[in-house]
Amino acid sequence: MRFVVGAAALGAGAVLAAVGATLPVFEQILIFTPGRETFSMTLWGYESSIDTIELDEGGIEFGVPVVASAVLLAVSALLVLAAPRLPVGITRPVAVAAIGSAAVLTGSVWTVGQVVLRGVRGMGGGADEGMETVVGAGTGVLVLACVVALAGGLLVQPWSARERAPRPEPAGAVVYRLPDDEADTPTPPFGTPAPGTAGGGS
Amino acid sequence: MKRIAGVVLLLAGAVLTAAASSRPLYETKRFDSGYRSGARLTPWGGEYTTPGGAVEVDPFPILLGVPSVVAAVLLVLVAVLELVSARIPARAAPAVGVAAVVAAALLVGTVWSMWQMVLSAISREDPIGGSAVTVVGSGMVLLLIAALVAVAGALLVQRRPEPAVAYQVPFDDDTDTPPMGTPIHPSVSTEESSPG
Repeated sequence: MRFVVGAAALGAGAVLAAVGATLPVFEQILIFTPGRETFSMTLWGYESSIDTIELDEGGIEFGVPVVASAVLLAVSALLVLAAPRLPVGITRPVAVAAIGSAAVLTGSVWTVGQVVLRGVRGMGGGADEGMETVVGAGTGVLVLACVVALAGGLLVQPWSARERAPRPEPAGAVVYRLPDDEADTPTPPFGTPAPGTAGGGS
Repeated sequence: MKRIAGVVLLLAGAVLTAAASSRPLYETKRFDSGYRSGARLTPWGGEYTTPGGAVEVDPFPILLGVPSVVAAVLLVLVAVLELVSARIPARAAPAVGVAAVVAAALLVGTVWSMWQMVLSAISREDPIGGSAVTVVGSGMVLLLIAALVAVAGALLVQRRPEPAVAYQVPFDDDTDTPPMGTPIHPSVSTEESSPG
């Protein structure tokens, strides 16, 4: 059950990251007398609400690691769900891939966050100066994606010893060890005498 | 031995990250009619060298180094925990392996994003059509190596499950009756069960 919830969280993190990658993470609104122009930074570069200016700023494609980790998150979510039908040895690599891709997502979103922070601190201005700087919706969605994905990654870890060393595949003769906490008398050399007969007779 | 190699690589990843933090991610050099100017971006902000030779620092730096330094601190922490793993409770042991993956992957994510910035800078056309040349800086190279080394270290400290595992069949009265019937001798308390 914990694994199903974890896989769902991993999948939700992947979807949120993909959605966040399309939204602006940071917006600057220039207000001038006839109207306003919004410059937005997305994970794929800069955009202007008035499409006339060629922005030679050089679009930084921060979206590449975000989308790559979202794909990895989705794949590990599917593998976690399919784990009962897959070889036993795959459980641990899948768990490592799940938490690893959640942390890659966190690292790249955090780095974008540093850029956004700089924008908010450095380009402030305020409405009275004709410029307004706001954090875009993408930032919130991406941060949420990181939290959800990390939670999912932690949930699908095999924490207990039983989950870490799963039951081996049956191969050859199966030997069961029976409990020996009760009276454990070895069988006599000639077998256990049947009830009602003289002991040891044949 | 594998564990020690993993600890060494985790520490090496942290040291390389720290070493990269004052070095440039990329450097731009411009030669315009005999005057040299330049710009460089480090993990702690931008610097501009004016044609007069003065260095100006970005008053609102992008503190790209914060996540990578946090990842480096985590890497050191994990390496220390791995070294003293014999003294920490067995139940906490898997957490060390998970923390190693988190620390290394956090570094990968932030280094990857910085690489995207460098990629954009080195492929950008000179906006004023001049002679600007942008090259990848030594800090970026160190960070890329640090991320690879940290991932290798994190994978090496992952523990394999112990191979020798004995499973006990839960004892209940639901075992099949043996072919010769159930013995009723009082000393016989366990029954043979035929394998599935």
